[in-house]
Amino acid sequence: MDPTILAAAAINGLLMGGIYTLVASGLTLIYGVLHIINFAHGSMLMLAMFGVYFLLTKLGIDPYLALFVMVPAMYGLGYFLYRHMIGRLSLGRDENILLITLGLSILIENLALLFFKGDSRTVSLPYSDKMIELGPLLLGVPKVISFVAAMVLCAMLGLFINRTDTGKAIRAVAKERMGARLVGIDVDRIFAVSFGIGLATLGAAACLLMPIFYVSPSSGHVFVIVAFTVVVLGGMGSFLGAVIGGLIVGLTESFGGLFLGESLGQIGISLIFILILLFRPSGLFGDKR
Amino acid sequence: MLKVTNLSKIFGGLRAVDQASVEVAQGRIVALIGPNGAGKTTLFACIAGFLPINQGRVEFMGQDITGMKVHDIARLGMVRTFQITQPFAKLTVLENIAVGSHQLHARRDKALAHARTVAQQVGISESMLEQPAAELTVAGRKRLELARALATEPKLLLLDEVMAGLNPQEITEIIGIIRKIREAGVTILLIEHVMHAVMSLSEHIYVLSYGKIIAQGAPLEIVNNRDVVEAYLGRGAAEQMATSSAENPHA
Amino acid sequence: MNTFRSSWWLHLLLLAISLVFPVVFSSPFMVNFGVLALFYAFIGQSWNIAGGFAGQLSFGHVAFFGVGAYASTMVQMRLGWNPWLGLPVSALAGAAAGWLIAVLSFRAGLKGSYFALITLAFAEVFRIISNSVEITGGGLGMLIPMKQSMANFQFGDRRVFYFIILALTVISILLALWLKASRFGARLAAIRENEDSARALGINIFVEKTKIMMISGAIAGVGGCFFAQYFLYIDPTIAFGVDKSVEMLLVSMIGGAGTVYGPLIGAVLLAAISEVTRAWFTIQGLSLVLYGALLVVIIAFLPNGLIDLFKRRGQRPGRS
Repeated sequence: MDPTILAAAAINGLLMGGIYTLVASGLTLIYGVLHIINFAHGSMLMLAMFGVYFLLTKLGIDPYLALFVMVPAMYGLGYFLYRHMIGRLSLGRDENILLITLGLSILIENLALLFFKGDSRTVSLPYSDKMIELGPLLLGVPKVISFVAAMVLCAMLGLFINRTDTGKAIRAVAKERMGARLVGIDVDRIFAVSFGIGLATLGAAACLLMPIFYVSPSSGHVFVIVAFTVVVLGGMGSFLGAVIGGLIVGLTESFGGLFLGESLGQIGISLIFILILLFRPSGLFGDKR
Repeated sequence: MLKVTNLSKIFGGLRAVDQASVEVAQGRIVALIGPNGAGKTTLFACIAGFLPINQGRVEFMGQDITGMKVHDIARLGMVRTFQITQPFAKLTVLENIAVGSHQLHARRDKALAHARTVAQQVGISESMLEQPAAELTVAGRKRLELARALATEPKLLLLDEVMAGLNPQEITEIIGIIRKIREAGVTILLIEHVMHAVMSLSEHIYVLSYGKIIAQGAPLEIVNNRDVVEAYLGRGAAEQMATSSAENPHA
Repeated sequence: MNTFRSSWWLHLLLLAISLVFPVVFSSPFMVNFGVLALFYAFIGQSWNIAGGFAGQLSFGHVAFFGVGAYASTMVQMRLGWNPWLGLPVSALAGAAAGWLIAVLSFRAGLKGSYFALITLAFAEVFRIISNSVEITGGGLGMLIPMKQSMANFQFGDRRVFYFIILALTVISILLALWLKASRFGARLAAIRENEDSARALGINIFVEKTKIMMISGAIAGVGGCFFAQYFLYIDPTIAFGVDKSVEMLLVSMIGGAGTVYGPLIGAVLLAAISEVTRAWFTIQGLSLVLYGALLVVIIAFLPNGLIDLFKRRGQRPGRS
């Protein structure tokens, strides 16, 4: 096998992996703080991507610039959704919440199918076909931009969680809910904030994915499996885990496609998911819950 | 009946149970006491197979059961109750007990009938039988826990604080019930904090402190044992008690 | 105690109604509706005995359905066997898949949400494999050539299919009734409620859970065989796509998970939604939107299913 091809697959895998990290960090934040396994994560990403799509096709806003619209908008949506819906529904067993978010994902996916029909949409930008040279390799410009942006955003999120007061509060609630309440933290607000951030990461990921990928109502299903695999691999609630997990999953997907072909290649991700759950359910960095 | 030899259980760096040796002869009522956090429930969990042991042996009726699975140990005849009761919430009281009865009674109707009898023995009233277990009071739950374990017709019962949260009336009743269970031929090892119950029920007592057995013997010996008093009340307490009772013979 | 169970005449009445149904309503639309309702009741029961009775909620139950569908179709198309043999073959295949997933998941101690997710992953793996391998026809799936005859397990008169699925559904209901009255069922309920207590009372939870997954798998597998013969076409998405998993789960949760007739109640409702939206609104996929909404509403407000509505009328709430 030509080393150039291998290298290209590796680089491309890492580039996609960066975006998966972004998607997964939202999921892991929501789980870590609210203990909600948000099955609707994938379909919400799909919705966000449609949002980016329409911002471009109807209003001419470039996807990368749309970051400034989508991120706050999705944050607001998340905050609102939590306050008025999820908050009330999230009492009860873990499995009930999983079922509710499953129901939501079906609802969203099929509403999208109804309104947008089943075809995939892609966007074409003036720089879509531009390439960057990296030694013998040619990398698509949008992919590189998206990767860099994803890493920057992840770093920002990491800084936010570790350095700001709200971030501290979030970490406190994630670690010990009751204790956090006792020291005066408004736990409900933190829940809403966390859920908002979780969706905000999806808004960002949508902007970064649209230039390099496609969207269709059934993409939600695909993203969910990827996101969950990253989170489970990295460890539920672990931010570092989401980063490492994202990169590994990206690489797996890339090499899987290379060695096993289009169709069978997808199996790599599901297999990782199964293997991790069977042998190390707490993931690489998670706490043994 | 039960012979535990040098059992140790280590969590990370903590020796929750340290070289504990316990023997329970057939037909006896033996108590395991000690201050909170001494490791009593952990010891129970180790004996019954819920936790893997780091060191030591457990023999039940002459057979080495160290490392056996919980359900196999239960089928051999050693059944434990839980300190924090764990009823089958959505099932009725009768159905709860019947799960225990099913150990030896395969047919549903036989199991239910047997469960009824056991319920009576333990003092669960007819009216309670059809209630969902989730709706029981603490006392009810404790009785249910006991009844369920009893329904398996065990040879050895491990009772974990079966009297916690009961009022004096209920405690007296339970003491009577436990005596009757023993009279029916069941050996009992119990963890308990209610001292007068321990005193009146048990024939032999082991005292656990910081994971170690610090004393064992007949109830009266234990009460006067200095190490035991200090384990509960702190160092120097034994002397203080001795001197104060010398100064105030009527105190 | 359980007055519903002891009123055997109610069961008989229900049976009589369902026997008479296709005679009274013989239009193709109604017969199809009947078949669909019973089909979902049947595969819903498969999910129900694992999820409702034993508390093992799975999101990937379609895996057993698909394995059965492909197994029976492949022995027919690739080995030339008589299609009726597809019934036992699909049952065995479903049971084998149930065994495999159970043994792997339960050895690893997976429960609750983790178990639900891993079953989803298994179904996805099966989907990808069936999509990529020649013997299953790859992405194109498998078409069973139409040749209607009794011997060939294909019938022009759809009412024959109706009676077949009715028989299967009756069997599944009898199975559920038996579970309610047996030691095995009592043990499963115990496992569902509290695994530690169940263990402490001598129940080998690994073995019991595996047993019920095998039975559940077998039922779903047979459902797959029936589906293949009824529609004469399967492909990876139909056989292993998430939709069926959701439907199996949904009918049970709507009707009442852990009850004998829950899946039937849910199935009738689901089939009604499906056929009505298809016929009146001609909008594809509206039914699925409603399914999603229903799932959210039911879990949030009626977690015990519609059966709760019946129970609340002063009757004692208890083991359903």
